[in-house]
Amino acid sequence: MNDSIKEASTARTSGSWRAFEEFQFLVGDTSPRRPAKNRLVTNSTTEEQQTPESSTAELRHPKGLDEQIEMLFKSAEDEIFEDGVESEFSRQLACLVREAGNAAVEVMAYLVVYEKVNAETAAEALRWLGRITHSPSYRYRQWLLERSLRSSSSRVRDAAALGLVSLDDPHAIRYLRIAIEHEKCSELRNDLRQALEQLKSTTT
Amino acid sequence: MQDQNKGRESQMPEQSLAAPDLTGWQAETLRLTAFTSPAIDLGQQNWWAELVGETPETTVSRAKGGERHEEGRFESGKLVLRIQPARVDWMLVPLVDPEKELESIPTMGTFSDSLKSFMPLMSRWLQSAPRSQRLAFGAILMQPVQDRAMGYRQINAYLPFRLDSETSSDFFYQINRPRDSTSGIPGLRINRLGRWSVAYFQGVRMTISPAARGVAPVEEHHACRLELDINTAADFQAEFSGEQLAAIFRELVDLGKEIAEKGDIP
Repeated sequence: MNDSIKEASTARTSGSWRAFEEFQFLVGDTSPRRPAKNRLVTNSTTEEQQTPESSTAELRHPKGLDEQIEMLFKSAEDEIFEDGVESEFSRQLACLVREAGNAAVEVMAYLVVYEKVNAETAAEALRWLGRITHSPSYRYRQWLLERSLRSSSSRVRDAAALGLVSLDDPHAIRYLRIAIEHEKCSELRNDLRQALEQLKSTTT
Repeated sequence: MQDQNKGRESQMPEQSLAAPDLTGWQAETLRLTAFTSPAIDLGQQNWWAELVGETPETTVSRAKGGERHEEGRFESGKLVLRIQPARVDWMLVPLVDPEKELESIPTMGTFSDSLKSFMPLMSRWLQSAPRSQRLAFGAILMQPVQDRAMGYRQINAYLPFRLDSETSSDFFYQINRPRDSTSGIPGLRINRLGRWSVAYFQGVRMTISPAARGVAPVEEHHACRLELDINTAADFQAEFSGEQLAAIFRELVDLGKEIAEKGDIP
């Protein structure tokens, strides 16, 4: 792509660039003239400011993050995981969450919720998600663990409960109760009840 | 010293202009975001068609329909729906014809008029929306001005401090002024996040052909820019029903209008 076009298409300002993502640069077009487009102009040479904690704007993922996390999940499919033992996969995942925060959790949410990765790897990710110490991504990790109680995979549901126990937040009590009501596997239902009792004891 | 200052003041151009009412702001984007409950499985939804009464012009589906992007014409703009694992976004954005020259910054008309289209639509959706943990109203507003200095003078009308319009550039001011909700929901706080700047837009014409390639500046525009993100606090523990969501949405919009009219106030 022509460098000028590349520059125009990546120009940023400290505000939002979103509205101008509508303008599609047609590479290879043989028209002699294309209509004028608008671009935001800035003197800055740095990346956009960090997203404030209270913001609800869509997350912008650092370049390559999606592919990096997908590859991490794929390569972990051959790894053997042991309960309670940190794996290379969980170590790298924790690193990514600490670096990229909610953006990393968002990618994980897509892979886990839409079952794009195998259940064993998803379960390992969820087991450790509750143990990561990273305050800015706490709420999103909590959401993903609570959401995963509804997974079609019993392994994932079980891992989500373990992750919620690690998080030790009574916020999950309501979702564990719903999960217990719907759980058809008696062994897992007992595990969920244990998780629920543990979180209830946190409130007392 | 005092006399010198007096002399200096009389030579300085006026530093701020009066703030126009809401009609002074043009709407570039309006947004409603619902952060859905983890207990809800959104599955396949037909919200766009049900709301507008027509099939969307574009539908992009990932993950067997789980993640979805739909868009189509709605009144004077384009209505976009994005469904992701943890959130649902509705956006109203300008309708831009890529074949036509842009004469100004694309907007949907005044902020007030755009809300007349957006609010009833969203209120209808919220009545039957999935249970949600958090709600947000976002807007990007523009007030076209002649140049940067004029923009700084105009933006001074909204700020609790004075910006030097003649010798400053690259101004950007972001602040959150949380308040307690007036919805009657105990313990609910509302974030009132605003980002103020004077944006500079440059039109470019691109030539792409086997014989020649180039980018030529065409015209430039300046505008006071206000980005609003009015949302319920992330640490609120309970979930909202559809009826509560509709009432909260009205409150969020009112708070956004207040900032657009009165500026950055506690």
